[in-house]
Amino acid sequence: MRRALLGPVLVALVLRLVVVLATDRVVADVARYERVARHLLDVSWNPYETRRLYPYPPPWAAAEAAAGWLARRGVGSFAANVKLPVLAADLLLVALLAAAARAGRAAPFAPWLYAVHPVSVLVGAAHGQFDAIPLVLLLLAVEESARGRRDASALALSAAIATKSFPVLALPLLALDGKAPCPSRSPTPARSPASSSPTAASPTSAGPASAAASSGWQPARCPGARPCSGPRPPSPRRSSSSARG
Amino acid sequence: MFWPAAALASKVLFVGAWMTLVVAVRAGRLRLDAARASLATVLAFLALYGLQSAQYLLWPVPLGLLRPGRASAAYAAAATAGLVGFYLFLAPGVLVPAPLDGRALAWAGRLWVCGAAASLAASAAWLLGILGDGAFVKAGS
Repeated sequence: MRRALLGPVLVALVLRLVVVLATDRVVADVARYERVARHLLDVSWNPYETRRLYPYPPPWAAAEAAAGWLARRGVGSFAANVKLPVLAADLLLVALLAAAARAGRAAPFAPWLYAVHPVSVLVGAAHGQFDAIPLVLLLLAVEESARGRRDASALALSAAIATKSFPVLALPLLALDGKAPCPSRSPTPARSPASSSPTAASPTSAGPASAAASSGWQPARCPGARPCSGPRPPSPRRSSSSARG
Repeated sequence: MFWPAAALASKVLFVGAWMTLVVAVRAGRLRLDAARASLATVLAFLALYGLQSAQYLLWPVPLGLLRPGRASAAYAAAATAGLVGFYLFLAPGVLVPAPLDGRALAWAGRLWVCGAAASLAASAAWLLGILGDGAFVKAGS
């Protein structure tokens, strides 16, 4: 289990560190981050005082200020420092996908795919845009919802929205997760309860995830497999903890 | 005059699509779990919202990797091409220290345009695939 997590995390770390060091330049968004850091460290702790300086919710401003503060004390360069929280979020995304894969809610190779995903490497490690931070919190919210932990899901989604506003689009969908009424007619062949268990997932099983089927992998939990309304089945972790008493 | 109107139209189009998605999931006419519904929302944003930005292209990646397949692979290839072209053509200094010029710059521009168009098409195709998987249920049937 540890090897399944360590492998993709290490690959993601090394790949992104190489790119961060190779693109250690204050350009594009990183130049804007530095401007905000200078304002926060030299002018005012309120980045919203100056118009068109900082359009995001507050938390990222702290990361920009910290990167500038460290660079002024000779600890790393600003461009590398400001990308470190993004790198950490990328590693957490890999770990979260590994956990989802272990629980049967993601493809086994999903963490490896994210570890080497060129879009993630370009946007985060090269460009320095911090969308991986709200994305890891959004994925955490989705995963906690899938495990039936709605309070934790709500907290994770709140944190995601507090970092960048776009995850608010998922709010009604997460609120509705598992609460939609049963449709009057199933558009796909009904699944037996056994077919929704991780052990029954197979490339040959029919179902809605045709794209996944083409890759030889079927998700353990398919749309509609969960009861459409009413109480959720207990998550495996809850079952095991209650069994332990 | 054209671009502000087009941008406004694309915003209205996306918000309308998003609200339709929420209502369809709420009514049980579209059976998507939170991960797929959130992914569909992001893909609708990419396909319908007319203004593109580099970071938008990352949004569907983690949710899409929960169930990787041909659609996510096609999207990754298209978005990568678009991003590399964008950084070389419009954001000099991000990937390479000095701006390109001459034929290299022209090729970077072509890569950006083709990659952006392919990303748009891949997002729309991926979205349609997810909506097809969610399978609308006919009212009253």
